[in-house]
Amino acid sequence: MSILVSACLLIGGGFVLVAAIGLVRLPDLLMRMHAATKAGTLGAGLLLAAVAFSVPGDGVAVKAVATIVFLLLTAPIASHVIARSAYYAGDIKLWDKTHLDELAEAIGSGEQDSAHRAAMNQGNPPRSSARASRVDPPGTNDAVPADA
Amino acid sequence: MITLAYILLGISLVLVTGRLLVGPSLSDRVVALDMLSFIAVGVIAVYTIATGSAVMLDAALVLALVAFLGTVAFARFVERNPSLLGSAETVESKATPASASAERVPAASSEG
Repeated sequence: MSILVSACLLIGGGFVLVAAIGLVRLPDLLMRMHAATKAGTLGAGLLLAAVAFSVPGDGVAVKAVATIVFLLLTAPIASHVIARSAYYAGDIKLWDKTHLDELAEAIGSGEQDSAHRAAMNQGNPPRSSARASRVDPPGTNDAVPADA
Repeated sequence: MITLAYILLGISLVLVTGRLLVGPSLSDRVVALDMLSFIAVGVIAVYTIATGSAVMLDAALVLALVAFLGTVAFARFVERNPSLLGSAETVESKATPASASAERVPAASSEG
Protein backbone atom coordinates (compact mmCIF):
# COMPACT_ATOMS: atom_id res chain seq x y z
CA MET A 1 0.00 0.00 0.00
CA SER A 2 1.52 3.22 -1.07
CA ILE A 3 2.27 6.21 1.06
CA LEU A 4 -0.36 8.25 -0.73
CA VAL A 5 -3.18 5.82 -0.02
CA SER A 6 -2.14 5.49 3.60
CA ALA A 7 -1.99 9.24 4.02
CA CYS A 8 -5.41 9.67 2.44
CA LEU A 9 -6.87 6.99 4.71
CA LEU A 10 -5.42 8.43 7.88
CA ILE A 11 -6.18 12.05 7.13
CA GLY A 12 -9.67 11.19 5.92
CA GLY A 13 -10.44 9.13 8.99
CA GLY A 14 -9.00 11.89 11.16
CA PHE A 15 -11.23 14.49 9.55
CA VAL A 16 -14.29 12.30 10.00
CA LEU A 17 -13.36 11.89 13.65
CA VAL A 18 -12.91 15.65 14.01
CA ALA A 19 -16.32 16.17 12.46
CA ALA A 20 -17.87 13.70 14.89
CA ILE A 21 -16.20 15.34 17.87
CA GLY A 22 -17.40 18.71 16.67
CA LEU A 23 -20.90 17.35 16.25
CA VAL A 24 -20.85 16.22 19.85
CA ARG A 25 -19.01 19.08 21.50
CA LEU A 26 -20.12 22.27 19.79
CA PRO A 27 -22.84 24.22 21.55
CA ASP A 28 -25.10 25.29 18.73
CA LEU A 29 -26.98 23.76 15.84
CA LEU A 30 -25.26 25.98 13.32
CA MET A 31 -21.83 25.20 14.68
CA ARG A 32 -22.56 21.49 14.72
CA MET A 33 -23.72 21.74 11.15
CA HIS A 34 -20.56 23.64 10.26
CA ALA A 35 -18.41 20.87 11.70
CA ALA A 36 -20.40 18.03 10.17
CA THR A 37 -20.64 19.52 6.72
CA LYS A 38 -17.14 20.72 6.07
CA ALA A 39 -14.98 18.28 7.99
CA GLY A 40 -17.27 15.36 7.18
CA THR A 41 -17.23 16.11 3.48
CA LEU A 42 -13.47 16.46 3.45
CA GLY A 43 -13.01 13.23 5.39
CA ALA A 44 -15.31 11.14 3.22
CA GLY A 45 -13.82 12.74 0.13
CA LEU A 46 -10.31 11.81 1.20
CA LEU A 47 -11.34 8.23 1.89
CA LEU A 48 -12.90 8.01 -1.56
CA ALA A 49 -9.76 9.55 -3.02
CA ALA A 50 -7.80 6.75 -1.39
CA VAL A 51 -10.10 4.30 -3.19
CA ALA A 52 -9.49 6.09 -6.46
CA PHE A 53 -5.75 5.90 -5.93
CA SER A 54 -5.49 2.30 -4.80
CA VAL A 55 -8.13 0.01 -6.25
CA PRO A 56 -7.50 -1.02 -9.85
CA GLY A 57 -10.23 -1.84 -12.27
CA ASP A 58 -12.54 -0.30 -14.80
CA GLY A 59 -14.60 2.54 -13.53
CA VAL A 60 -13.54 2.40 -9.91
CA ALA A 61 -11.78 5.71 -9.99
CA VAL A 62 -14.62 7.19 -12.01
CA LYS A 63 -17.17 6.09 -9.44
CA ALA A 64 -15.04 7.34 -6.59
CA VAL A 65 -14.52 10.72 -8.21
CA ALA A 66 -18.20 10.93 -9.09
CA THR A 67 -19.09 10.28 -5.46
CA ILE A 68 -16.62 12.93 -4.32
CA VAL A 69 -18.07 15.47 -6.72
CA PHE A 70 -21.56 14.55 -5.64
CA LEU A 71 -20.67 14.98 -1.97
CA LEU A 72 -19.02 18.31 -2.68
CA LEU A 73 -22.08 19.49 -4.57
CA THR A 74 -24.78 18.31 -2.20
CA ALA A 75 -23.36 18.78 1.29
CA PRO A 76 -23.48 22.61 1.25
CA ILE A 77 -26.97 22.54 -0.20
CA ALA A 78 -28.21 20.15 2.45
CA SER A 79 -26.60 22.16 5.22
CA HIS A 80 -28.00 25.42 3.94
CA VAL A 81 -31.47 23.97 3.61
CA ILE A 82 -31.44 22.55 7.13
CA ALA A 83 -30.15 25.80 8.57
CA ARG A 84 -32.76 27.82 6.73
CA SER A 85 -35.67 25.65 7.73
CA ALA A 86 -34.53 25.40 11.33
CA TYR A 87 -34.02 29.14 11.59
CA TYR A 88 -37.33 30.12 10.11
CA ALA A 89 -39.17 27.47 12.07
CA GLY A 90 -37.63 28.82 15.26
CA ASP A 91 -35.81 25.61 16.03
CA ILE A 92 -32.48 27.27 16.69
CA LYS A 93 -31.43 28.40 20.10
CA LEU A 94 -28.29 30.34 19.42
CA TRP A 95 -25.29 30.09 21.64
CA ASP A 96 -25.23 32.44 24.60
CA LYS A 97 -22.08 34.16 23.44
CA THR A 98 -23.37 34.89 19.96
CA HIS A 99 -22.80 38.53 19.18
CA LEU A 100 -24.55 39.22 15.97
CA ASP A 101 -27.62 37.82 14.31
CA GLU A 102 -27.90 39.79 11.13
CA LEU A 103 -30.69 37.65 9.78
CA ALA A 104 -32.95 38.53 12.70
CA GLU A 105 -32.31 42.20 12.12
CA ALA A 106 -32.93 41.77 8.43
CA ILE A 107 -36.17 39.97 9.05
CA GLY A 108 -37.26 42.81 11.26
CA SER A 109 -39.04 42.35 14.50
CA GLY A 110 -37.31 39.13 15.41
CA GLU A 111 -40.39 38.11 17.30
CA GLN A 112 -39.48 34.52 17.85
CA ASP A 113 -37.01 34.81 20.65
CA SER A 114 -36.61 38.51 21.11
CA ALA A 115 -36.31 38.04 24.83
CA HIS A 116 -33.37 35.77 24.33
CA ARG A 117 -31.66 38.23 22.04
CA ALA A 118 -32.40 41.17 24.30
CA ALA A 119 -30.82 39.38 27.19
CA MET A 120 -27.95 38.51 24.95
CA ASN A 121 -27.44 42.09 23.85
CA GLN A 122 -27.65 43.56 27.31
CA GLY A 123 -25.21 41.08 28.64
CA ASN A 124 -22.44 43.01 26.85
CA PRO A 125 -20.29 40.04 26.01
CA PRO A 126 -16.58 40.80 25.75
CA ARG A 127 -15.33 41.78 22.35
CA SER A 128 -12.19 39.77 22.76
CA SER A 129 -13.83 36.48 21.98
CA ALA A 130 -13.39 34.57 18.79
CA ARG A 131 -16.36 36.15 17.16
CA ALA A 132 -15.30 39.71 17.83
CA SER A 133 -14.16 40.25 14.30
CA ARG A 134 -17.69 39.89 13.10
CA VAL A 135 -18.97 42.71 15.25
CA ASP A 136 -17.24 45.33 13.16
CA PRO A 137 -20.13 47.12 11.43
CA PRO A 138 -20.89 49.82 13.97
CA GLY A 139 -24.32 50.77 12.71
CA THR A 140 -25.97 47.47 13.43
CA ASN A 141 -24.24 47.02 16.71
CA ASP A 142 -25.35 50.39 17.95
CA ALA A 143 -28.83 49.98 16.63
CA VAL A 144 -29.55 46.76 18.38
CA PRO A 145 -29.57 47.88 22.03
CA ALA A 146 -31.56 50.96 21.03
CA ASP A 147 -34.61 49.00 20.06
CA ALA A 148 -34.05 46.04 22.29
CA MET B 1 -3.65 1.28 8.20
CA ILE B 2 -6.98 -0.21 7.22
CA THR B 3 -7.59 -1.21 10.82
CA LEU B 4 -6.72 2.27 12.03
CA ALA B 5 -9.11 3.84 9.56
CA TYR B 6 -11.82 1.44 10.70
CA ILE B 7 -11.13 2.39 14.31
CA LEU B 8 -11.34 6.12 13.57
CA LEU B 9 -14.59 5.65 11.68
CA GLY B 10 -15.99 3.47 14.44
CA ILE B 11 -15.26 6.04 17.13
CA SER B 12 -16.89 8.75 15.08
CA LEU B 13 -19.84 6.45 14.43
CA VAL B 14 -20.37 6.06 18.16
CA LEU B 15 -20.07 9.80 18.78
CA VAL B 16 -22.49 10.74 16.03
CA THR B 17 -24.96 8.12 17.18
CA GLY B 18 -24.78 9.69 20.61
CA ARG B 19 -25.65 13.05 19.12
CA LEU B 20 -28.44 11.41 17.16
CA LEU B 21 -29.93 10.02 20.35
CA VAL B 22 -29.31 13.06 22.53
CA GLY B 23 -29.84 15.88 20.06
CA PRO B 24 -31.96 18.58 21.62
CA SER B 25 -33.86 19.48 18.50
CA LEU B 26 -35.06 17.60 15.48
CA SER B 27 -32.67 19.48 13.23
CA ASP B 28 -29.76 18.25 15.32
CA ARG B 29 -30.86 14.71 14.70
CA VAL B 30 -31.12 15.34 10.98
CA VAL B 31 -27.61 16.79 10.92
CA ALA B 32 -26.42 13.72 12.79
CA LEU B 33 -28.10 11.48 10.22
CA ASP B 34 -26.38 13.37 7.45
CA MET B 35 -23.06 12.88 9.20
CA LEU B 36 -23.87 9.18 9.63
CA SER B 37 -24.29 8.87 5.90
CA PHE B 38 -20.86 10.48 5.44
CA ILE B 39 -19.37 7.97 7.83
CA ALA B 40 -21.09 5.13 6.02
CA VAL B 41 -19.60 6.33 2.74
CA GLY B 42 -16.22 6.38 4.42
CA VAL B 43 -16.68 2.85 5.74
CA ILE B 44 -17.61 1.68 2.27
CA ALA B 45 -14.48 3.32 0.91
CA VAL B 46 -12.27 1.62 3.46
CA TYR B 47 -13.99 -1.70 2.80
CA THR B 48 -13.36 -1.27 -0.90
CA ILE B 49 -9.67 -0.71 -0.26
CA ALA B 50 -9.49 -3.63 2.14
CA THR B 51 -11.11 -6.16 -0.15
CA GLY B 52 -10.21 -4.78 -3.53
CA SER B 53 -13.64 -5.39 -4.94
CA ALA B 54 -15.56 -2.36 -6.09
CA VAL B 55 -19.05 -3.71 -5.77
CA MET B 56 -19.92 -1.44 -2.85
CA LEU B 57 -18.98 1.83 -4.52
CA ASP B 58 -22.36 2.07 -6.20
CA ALA B 59 -23.89 1.70 -2.77
CA ALA B 60 -21.76 4.62 -1.58
CA LEU B 61 -22.98 6.82 -4.41
CA VAL B 62 -26.60 5.87 -3.84
CA LEU B 63 -26.19 6.39 -0.09
CA ALA B 64 -24.92 9.90 -0.62
CA LEU B 65 -27.81 10.59 -2.98
CA VAL B 66 -30.44 9.24 -0.62
CA ALA B 67 -29.02 11.12 2.35
CA PHE B 68 -29.12 14.37 0.42
CA LEU B 69 -32.68 13.74 -0.72
CA GLY B 70 -33.76 12.86 2.79
CA THR B 71 -32.23 15.99 4.22
CA VAL B 72 -33.81 18.24 1.64
CA ALA B 73 -37.17 16.53 2.05
CA PHE B 74 -36.99 16.98 5.80
CA ALA B 75 -36.16 20.64 5.42
CA ARG B 76 -39.04 21.29 3.04
CA PHE B 77 -41.38 19.39 5.30
CA VAL B 78 -40.38 21.34 8.39
CA GLU B 79 -40.54 24.61 6.55
CA ARG B 80 -44.11 23.91 5.60
CA ASN B 81 -45.37 23.01 9.02
CA PRO B 82 -43.00 24.11 11.74
CA SER B 83 -45.27 22.81 14.45
CA LEU B 84 -43.71 19.41 14.06
CA LEU B 85 -40.51 20.58 15.62
CA GLY B 86 -41.87 20.98 19.09
CA SER B 87 -38.87 22.77 20.52
CA ALA B 88 -40.08 23.96 23.86
CA GLU B 89 -39.31 27.63 23.93
CA THR B 90 -40.38 28.76 20.53
CA VAL B 91 -43.73 27.09 20.30
CA GLU B 92 -46.06 29.92 19.53
CA SER B 93 -49.31 30.66 17.88
CA LYS B 94 -48.58 28.75 14.75
CA ALA B 95 -48.33 25.52 16.69
CA THR B 96 -51.31 23.44 15.78
CA PRO B 97 -52.42 20.07 17.01
CA ALA B 98 -50.75 17.22 15.26
CA SER B 99 -54.02 15.83 13.99
CA ALA B 100 -54.94 19.07 12.30
CA SER B 101 -51.52 19.63 10.86
CA ALA B 102 -51.72 16.45 8.86
CA GLU B 103 -54.51 17.81 6.73
CA ARG B 104 -52.99 21.24 6.62
CA VAL B 105 -49.91 20.15 4.76
CA PRO B 106 -51.09 20.96 1.22
CA ALA B 107 -52.79 24.18 2.23
CA ALA B 108 -50.10 25.54 4.49
CA SER B 109 -47.49 26.04 1.85
CA SER B 110 -46.23 29.47 2.67
CA GLU B 111 -44.09 29.82 -0.38
CA GLY B 112 -45.92 28.05 -3.12
